[in-house]
Formats: sequence, C-alpha cells, structure tokens
Amino acid sequence: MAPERNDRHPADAFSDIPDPIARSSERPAAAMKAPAVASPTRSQVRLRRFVLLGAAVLWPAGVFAYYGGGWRGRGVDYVAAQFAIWAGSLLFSAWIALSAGRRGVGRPVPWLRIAAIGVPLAFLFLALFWLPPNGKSFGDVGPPAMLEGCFQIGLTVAMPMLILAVGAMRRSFPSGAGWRGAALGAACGLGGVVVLVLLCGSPYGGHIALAHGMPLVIATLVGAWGGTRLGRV
Amino acid sequence: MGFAPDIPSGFGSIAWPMMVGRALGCTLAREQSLDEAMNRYAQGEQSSFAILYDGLEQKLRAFLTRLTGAPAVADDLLQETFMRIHRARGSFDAGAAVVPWAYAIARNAWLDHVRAAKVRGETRAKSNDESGAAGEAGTGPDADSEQLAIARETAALVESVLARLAPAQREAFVLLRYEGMSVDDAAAVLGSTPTAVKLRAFRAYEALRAALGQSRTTGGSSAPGAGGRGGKDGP
Repeated sequence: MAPERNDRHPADAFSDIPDPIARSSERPAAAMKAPAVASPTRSQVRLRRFVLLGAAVLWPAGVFAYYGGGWRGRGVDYVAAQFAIWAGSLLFSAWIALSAGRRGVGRPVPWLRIAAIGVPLAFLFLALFWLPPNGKSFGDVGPPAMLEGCFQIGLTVAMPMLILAVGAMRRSFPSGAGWRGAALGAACGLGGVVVLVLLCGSPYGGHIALAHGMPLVIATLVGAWGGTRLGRV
Repeated sequence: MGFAPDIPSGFGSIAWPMMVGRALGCTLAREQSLDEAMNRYAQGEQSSFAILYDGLEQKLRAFLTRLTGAPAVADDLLQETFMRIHRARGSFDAGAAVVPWAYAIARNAWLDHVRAAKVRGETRAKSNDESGAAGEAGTGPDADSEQLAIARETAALVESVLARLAPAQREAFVLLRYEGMSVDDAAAVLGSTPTAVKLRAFRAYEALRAALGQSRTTGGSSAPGAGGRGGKDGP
C-alpha cells in the first residue's frame, strides 16, 4: 500500500517491508577503548581554525595593499553598492559553509546550493547587465592585458584563501562535503571579487564577467573538490 | 505491561500512549547522554569513548549491515567509522547531535567502500551469514517452521532487492524505514534535500513492493526490476 498521508512517519508508511536483518545478528557491544591514534581535540581544532581562517581573512587585505590599495573604480555609488553586495554574499557563503547547523552535520543542501551556484550565477548576471557608469556593452571584454591582469589578481586572492580555509576545515564535513566545499570556494572567490571591485576601473561588462567572474567559478569548483577530498570526515 | 507496572490494568487505553511516551523519553534521554559523552570526548576525555561505542555500536552495525548486506564487511566498516569519529572528534560542535553525525560518517565509510569496490570491479558482497537472512516477522518463539521459512524467504528477497537498488535509493529507504529517522534528519545525513530523500525512498519502496507482490503471486523469491531506475540516483 502506498503512503497516503503526509503527516505519517515514513517508517509507518513503509512498515509492510520486513527488515532483512535478524535481531539475533545484533551482538552485545564489547567494552572499547579509544583508538591509540592521536587526534586533535576541540580546543586544538578551534585554534587551528582561528589561525588559518584568520590568515584567510587577512590575505585579501594584503593583496589589496600590495597592488597599491586605494580606489580605481568608477562612481562612488556603483563601487560602494558592488562592494556591499559582494562582501555580504561572501559573509553569507562563508557562514553557510562553515556553520554546522542545528544537528551538527551542516546547513540544509538548498542553502548550500544558493551559496555554491546561486551566488556565482548572480555575479555573472549582474556583471553583464549592471554596468559601471559610462560602461561599455557587455559583449565587449576590453584590452586582453587588462583581462589577464584582473584574472591573475582574482586567482591570487582566491586560491590561497581557499587553501587556508580548506585546511582549517579539514575533516569537518560529515555530510554534503562537496556542497560545503563549493560554498567555501565561492566565499573565497568573492574575496577576489571584492578586491577587484576596489582595484579595477574597467568599464567593460564582458571584462568583469570574465576576468572577475572566472576566478569565482574556478574557486567554487576547486572548493567542491577540496571539500570532498579533504573536508569530508 | 512490563513497561509500566504501576499503571492499573483497567486503564489500558491510557496506558499505551503513556508507555510509548515513556519509551520515546528513554530514547531521547539516551541520545542526550550520548551527545554529552561525545561532547566530553571532543574535549579530550578518552574514557567517554566507551560510552559512545556502547551507545552507537548496535545502531551503526545494523545500518551498515543493511547497506552492505554482508555482516563481515559491516564489521570492517564499523571499525573504520569509529576510527573516523575518533579522528574528527575535535570538529564535533558543542550542542550538536551525535547520532546523525555518526550516521553521516558511517555512510561516508560505506560510500568509500562502494567506490573502492567499483574500482576493483567487484559487485556487492553477498551475505554469507545465514542468520542475517531471517526477518523480524515470524521469528518469535511462537512462529512455526513454515512461518519461519516464509519469513526467511521474504527477508532474503528484501535483501536481494535492496542489493540491486541504487545506493542513493537504498540508503534513503534504510534510514527512513529501518533507522526510524525523520525526513529532515535523513536529508541532513545524506547531504540532500528532503524532497529528494522522500522520492528515493519511495522508489525503493515501489521496487520492494513489486518484488514482494510478484513473489506472493508466483510463490517464488525472484526479484524483478529492482534496479530498473537505479542508475539515475547514484550518490
């Protein structure tokens, strides 16, 4: 009989399927000692996270200072709005990826998908359709040297941030490791975006989508890989 | 009435909900004490591991046996799961629930085993433990030999259909049907959405129902089409 009511527990709805495991196969638990292998305690893990995530936060500021700091964007309103949106998205993605949620196994997957897929897509969309003052058509990518320079700065910010963040969260994702890693990667990619918002004065929508957006996409993909490989328990 | 000796016998209709409530209360209290033990273990108290092992071992062993279909493999994966719990203990957040956390880790150990077996070109190990083929139905002291034989055959059929299901469908069904998890908790353990978990479990249920129905009409133990939709939902 198929389940008819939504308020029933699934175990009730499926109760006509017998359990293939005999009760007799359940053995009494023997007294066990903790494995002799050394493993970090919570305080050690917290210290590791504090150091590595702190370094990940400071890294974009260091890159920004190295490239001369200051302000090269066009239009105060445009740059301030861009900075606020992408810094806010960075915080949101980082929070979604790092927090363990109510049950301790991470935030719900739909939230993680918003951070890992929705945020990069939103960036690419806005880059193409929300142009800077005096911006050029989004099909125009501008000078190739500028494109390459911004792409390099974006990766220079995002990749070390991601390495530090994944190192901080090593063996911390019991479920949804790929999604949590991707959300972490998106947060790091947004670190590059935020620095480039301040440093880059290019008016070309295509330039922003490609040179600023590709490091974000790459960081998201690498984050998904790193989360699965290193973050998963 | 062994649960509630202090309840008068004339109040049976009231006693049952009270008994269920008491049993649920016991389960919750047990899980809370496990959470506290894990909390202490995460802080470095080595002796709490024994409490954790005692509280989780049977659940995780049953879960892994249902997933693998082979008690020997489940034993290996159980050891691997506790080793992973030990290595990751520092990342267990204060106030979190240890049961879904441990299930998620056990599932990871199983998925790694499945992937490694796939790389080696092996198929799912068949259970060589005959005792594992007996179902929960009809195994009580009153069951006669015919009922026992039917129960064994049904359990073997369920096990063979579960074995042919896609891993994603199998784990969703096992968590909801046998481990008694809520859809939200199962989704958290599986790193998926509640809707996807319900859909996968329902597909598994349909396959199992079809196999059991056919077995009843033919009187045999064949399991047709169990993995028909399996490939789409792989983890």
